[in-house]
Amino acid sequence: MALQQMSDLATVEYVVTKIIKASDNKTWYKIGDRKILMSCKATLTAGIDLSSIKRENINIEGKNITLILPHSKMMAVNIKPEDIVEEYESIDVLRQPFTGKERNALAIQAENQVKASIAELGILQTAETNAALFVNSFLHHLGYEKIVIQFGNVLNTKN
Amino acid sequence: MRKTITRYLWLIVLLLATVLLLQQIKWLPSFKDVFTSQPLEIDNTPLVIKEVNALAQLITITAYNEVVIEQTIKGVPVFSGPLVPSLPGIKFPDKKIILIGKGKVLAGVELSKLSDKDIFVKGDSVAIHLPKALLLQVILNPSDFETFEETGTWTDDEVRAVKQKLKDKLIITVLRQNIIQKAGDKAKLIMENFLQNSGFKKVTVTVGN
Repeated sequence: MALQQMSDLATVEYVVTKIIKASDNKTWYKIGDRKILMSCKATLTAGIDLSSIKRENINIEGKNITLILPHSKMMAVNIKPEDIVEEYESIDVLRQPFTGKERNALAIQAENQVKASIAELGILQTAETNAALFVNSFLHHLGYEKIVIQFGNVLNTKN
Repeated sequence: MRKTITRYLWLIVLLLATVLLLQQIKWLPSFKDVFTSQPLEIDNTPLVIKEVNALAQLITITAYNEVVIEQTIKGVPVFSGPLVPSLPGIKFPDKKIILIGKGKVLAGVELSKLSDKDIFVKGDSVAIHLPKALLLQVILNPSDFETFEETGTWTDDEVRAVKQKLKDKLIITVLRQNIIQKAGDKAKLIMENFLQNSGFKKVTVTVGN
């Protein structure tokens, strides 16, 4: 077992669903068709790495604080075994049923497609918005009145 | 007669040479590929966003571990109906599956549970009581599984149940490493550091048990 220390603040999770659809009819010498339909649910988590916030990223003047946060990053893609469910299977008489290994291989393809589509979902932008909201609220509880939060070149001001 | 045979031999050689040439320039599949099973590929279906949830989880420890699980289901008798007498020894074969899972477990604290009464500020002093550390996510994706052995026909429900057992085993092994305590200690350290950087001179951070 390996343990890794982290300092990640997860600020958003997207729950997405996907249909896994395959027809096994492309091999000419196999007589008959096999079809399978599965549904899967994936939970995507994103947030910011707090370990990269250094003292020089924080500027305090009385009750005013300016904080530079790192850009958001993906933290986890989680497809739980219980969230992959076979909805339909059709096997012709001369064909063998799908094995567990074959079903898992199809789920791996779906996992790769989910990972490839992450950029289109806008999860990183939402993670930064939520991080700014949380840090703003937290600093407000600590007594700061004017809070300025920046992400690299992006400026988010919350009063 | 000899001339005819020679002519046919030349024709066969020419035909073979043409086939080999077409295979070389990928116009024809190779002989090996002709009898290779085509890979089973899924369609590229769209992702549908079902939920967007705001979080405030401080992830402080990730534990990686490899777990193996073996499951056998005994074969049932072939004739087991009330009208047909069961014949001793005639039954379906046992089925067996061995799975290897390389998973990871994320632990930390839920900062969303922080309330006003958990934060006390006076001048340049601050005291914060963090919620207790817990396991936040157990990640065992399809690509984290390897089927080492599979005999017999396993249904989707049966395989899923075995994977669930493997996940439980992963959680047990991780908890034995005192991950919760370590996650709490690290969260305390991160929060102390953040508060000191935020201008507080006296910082007290406690973590719930």
